[in-house]
Amino acid sequence: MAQPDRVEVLIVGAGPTGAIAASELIAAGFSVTCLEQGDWTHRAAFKGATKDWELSAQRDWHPNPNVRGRAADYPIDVTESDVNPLMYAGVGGATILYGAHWVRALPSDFRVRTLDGVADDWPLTYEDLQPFYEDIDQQMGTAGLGDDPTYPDGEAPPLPPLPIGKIGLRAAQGMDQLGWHWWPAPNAIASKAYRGREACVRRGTCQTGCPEGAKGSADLTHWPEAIRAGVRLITGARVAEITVNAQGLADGAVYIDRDGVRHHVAASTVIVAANGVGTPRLLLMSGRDSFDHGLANSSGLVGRRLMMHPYAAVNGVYEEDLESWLGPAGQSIVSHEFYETDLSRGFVRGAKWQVMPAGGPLGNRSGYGGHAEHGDADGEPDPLAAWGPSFHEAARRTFGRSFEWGIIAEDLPDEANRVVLSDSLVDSDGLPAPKIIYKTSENTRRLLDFHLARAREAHLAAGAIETYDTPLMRDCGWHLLGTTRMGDDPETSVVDQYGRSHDIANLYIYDGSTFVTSTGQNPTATIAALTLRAVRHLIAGRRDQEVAS
Amino acid sequence: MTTPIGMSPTALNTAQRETLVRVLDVLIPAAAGMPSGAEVGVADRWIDEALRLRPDLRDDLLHALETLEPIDAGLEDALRAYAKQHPEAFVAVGVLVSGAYYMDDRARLALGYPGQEDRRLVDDTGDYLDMLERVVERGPIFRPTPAEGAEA
Repeated sequence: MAQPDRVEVLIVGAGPTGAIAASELIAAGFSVTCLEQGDWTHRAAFKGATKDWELSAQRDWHPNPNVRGRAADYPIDVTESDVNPLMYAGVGGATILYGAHWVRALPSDFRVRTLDGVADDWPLTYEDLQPFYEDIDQQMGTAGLGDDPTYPDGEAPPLPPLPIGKIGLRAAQGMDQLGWHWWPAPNAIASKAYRGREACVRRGTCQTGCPEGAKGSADLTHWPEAIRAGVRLITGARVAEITVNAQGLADGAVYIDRDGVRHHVAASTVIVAANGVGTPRLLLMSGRDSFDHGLANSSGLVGRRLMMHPYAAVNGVYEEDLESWLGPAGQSIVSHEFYETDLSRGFVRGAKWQVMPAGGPLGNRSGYGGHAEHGDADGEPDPLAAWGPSFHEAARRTFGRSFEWGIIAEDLPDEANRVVLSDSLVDSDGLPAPKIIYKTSENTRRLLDFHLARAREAHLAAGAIETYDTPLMRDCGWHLLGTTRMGDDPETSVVDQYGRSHDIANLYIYDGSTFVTSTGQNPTATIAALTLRAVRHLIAGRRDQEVAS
Repeated sequence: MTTPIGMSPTALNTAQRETLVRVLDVLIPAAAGMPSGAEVGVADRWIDEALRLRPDLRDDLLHALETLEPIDAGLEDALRAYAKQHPEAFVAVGVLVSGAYYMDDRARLALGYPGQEDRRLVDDTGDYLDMLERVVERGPIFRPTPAEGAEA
């Protein structure tokens, strides 16, 4: 087994948090190596500007790794899950395919137990995180408008808002009529040239990769400069195990290269940034000779409390042409009208809403065209009802004239929802695949029912002539949270508020795994801000950091 | 089914294309000012492109075409029966033919879809600032961080 020189900090995963950590550490003078199982994704590979965009989005650029099936992706056993986890293995991680919805958590999100009597409080507050939210806004180039009354006062995003377009304006008119909150959406998408990135051109294909390089993905925002500064990024390196020395400190990792050769990278400190499924998977695969239940798992909580944000939507169809294939996608406007708890609704917590475009004819058709509108003589749905002349009539009625109010439901932690190692499925290197055990709760179902009803009202107030519900999407697990939760008590948490393992003093976790509760927001801004706060704390305490030698 | 030498593994043979044309006449006829699937070349050029992008659906398409090929009259009823017997394969056929159809410029033009075109950004804040002022005037909607030691 090859034995390169010891590195001061080893990072597992080149997604946004690995990128942020690497950038900060190299600037502070550390030697840094990052291991990434995937590869670079070059802009020319994205299909947004070509005719094959919609069909390629259903497979080659699908966010579900089980559908994409690339060698860099590990398969995921979802036979016991209501929701499929979504992710991307490669430099930039999930930011390659995310929608760049750059929203913060709210103050109440960090005090759920105190305010609502459920789940747990976080060991930090919104105020602790706010300066890091503002700093990371600058790094990502967030576009938006300040003074949103959803949040305490603070700095406005560095870039002006993207156009809300005809869909956003129509939706806003409905919210205005109802007296409900709405705001032009913040996106990590450049509304003008910013730090080497081009301005958005509204192509609307953000979630299958941005061909223009306008979207704030970590392969563009952080990695080029981090590598110039001296970070060593090794792609095609699938980490099989975090190694631990006789003193109980992390001392590196074993990775498998594309030729199947195993290498050990020796390190003084190890940071795992592999997302809420990949991180617990790696900890559970590690140290199996020395620990009963995987690494850093004296609490027994590694892999537990998985939260994935059940997602529902209401699509509205309008008479006027709203050009609803236009981007960004990205989000147009958002609403937090029903975010905070109101017990009279029959559930706790709430959801963030966002308006998104409907995509091209296939995206639109997948929402509406498959509805069987007529029964046959036996009363069974006619499988041809959406075909023939109806194929065109439905497209005429809905294409360009519809948009979605999407609902991100806060998902409360439940130890029964978890990531475990599959006993039958393996990845292309023979490593055990993760298995997801996940069920939505009664609180979530009530929450979604309420929000779907309100979103229908929002569409109708805006003039929709038809609405269609999507009660719960199976392919919606973008947000992988909670599986190595943070806390002050080592018996009830895996890491502290700075991501440091309670069990292993030089092992850190920087990703959505550390969330205590899920919030009802897209989490990347919070994950990034937490990482910035954590890594700066690590740097500030470097003299006291216990390290492997 | 075997692929003749020299033919792309995603290509269909002549009989399969002829059957596909008849299927297209049922699924995507000319109507509502839109051209038919056969007219824009779904069974010729575009189905090959669709199969290149979705090779995972090839077997389902071939199964449907093989099943329907001997049917002379009453293809619509046969297709309906096939869809009930093989719903997953029928969905696959639908994805392929609709995806192939909308790659053609004639279909796109007739629908008014320019593709995911690029457009210069415009500042449209002036269209909504009056409405946004009313949002601001309604005041903050968040619950502030409670004082240390507070309880629900």
